[in-house]
Amino acid sequence: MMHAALPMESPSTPVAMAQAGELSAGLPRLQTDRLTLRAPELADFEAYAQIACSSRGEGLGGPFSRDEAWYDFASMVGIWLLRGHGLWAVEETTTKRLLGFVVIGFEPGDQHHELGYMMCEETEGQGYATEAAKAARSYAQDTLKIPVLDSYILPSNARSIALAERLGATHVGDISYPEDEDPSRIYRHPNPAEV
Amino acid sequence: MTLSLAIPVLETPRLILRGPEPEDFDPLAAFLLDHDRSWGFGSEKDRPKAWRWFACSIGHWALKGYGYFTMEWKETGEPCGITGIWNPEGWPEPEIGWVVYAGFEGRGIAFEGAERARKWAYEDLGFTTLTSNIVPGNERSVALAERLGATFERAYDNVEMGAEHLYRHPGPAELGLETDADGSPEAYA
Repeated sequence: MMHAALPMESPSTPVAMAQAGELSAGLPRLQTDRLTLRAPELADFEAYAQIACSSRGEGLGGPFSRDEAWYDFASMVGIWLLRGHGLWAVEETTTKRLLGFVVIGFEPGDQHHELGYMMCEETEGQGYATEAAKAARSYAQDTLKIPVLDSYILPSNARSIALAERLGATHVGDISYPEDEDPSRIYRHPNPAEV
Repeated sequence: MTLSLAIPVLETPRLILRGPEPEDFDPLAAFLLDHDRSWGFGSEKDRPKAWRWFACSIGHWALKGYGYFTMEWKETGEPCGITGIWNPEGWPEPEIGWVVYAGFEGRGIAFEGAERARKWAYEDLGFTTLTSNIVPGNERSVALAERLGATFERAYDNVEMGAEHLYRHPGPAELGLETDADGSPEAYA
């Protein structure tokens, strides 16, 4: 279900937005052939809400209400400052079109760092998610030296499983989250340091 | 790599207001998990949920350029509460909030901190009006809002908290504050 954007999603005062812009300066910006992974901004929330509040949000623990989605979005931004990794917005470099999001997360209940991807529906089928996830994974492994990186995926999410397998991740076990009915599959990503 | 946000540091006679730091989580979690103290603010049911709120509160700063400061008791350097401007998804408009941790009550900390945060929001951020949302029955909070000059405006349903009363604070002119006209949202409209 679509909701109209609410007043609090629009920019705040110029001074406040300048302060918010500082995060962009500090976050790593990654480039791939076609994509730029950049700091999320307030204006990106609309796209995140469309994913998290629809059936596409099931893999995130949703579908969420809009206010729940905002908490989720803001907390994935906030962990950059607590843990040095977090959420990127993925845009097409040439057009600056927002395609979706990738995250290096570590949420309560996770056993290891997690690589997550949430792409907008209309951008599927062009390999964007694979390209963005590979860039985030390389950053996690090569720059942050994160030794174990998993993707937690519901067994019903065939698309996400296919992507994990395309990325070379393997099903190594299952994990249960208190808020989910079904356990998720743990897909563990290959670590180049071990090859 | 160290990431940080240039969150301003504000001072009052007895308090430092500064950005949240990772070590602030313990005292914050103790508050959020203590339903008797936090019901009017929004309790969390377990430590993971409290962590999520903490991370969200930092993300709020990053996305919006304002949020909750940690209030530090100058004399000892201990975190003694939080105050600041909060406006997540679904909120009717930006509000001033305050929390005082166990052991720090009865010293006027919430008033001192909230008044300073309000001054910052008006003078430095260019806000032209501010509110506080209070759960009916939270008489301590009503008393503080009124002491800050805020008055009851309307009842409404908050997406997180349910039934709430919205109090409106006096604007910058009523408080005799100097505001930079170029910083106001209207100046850019």
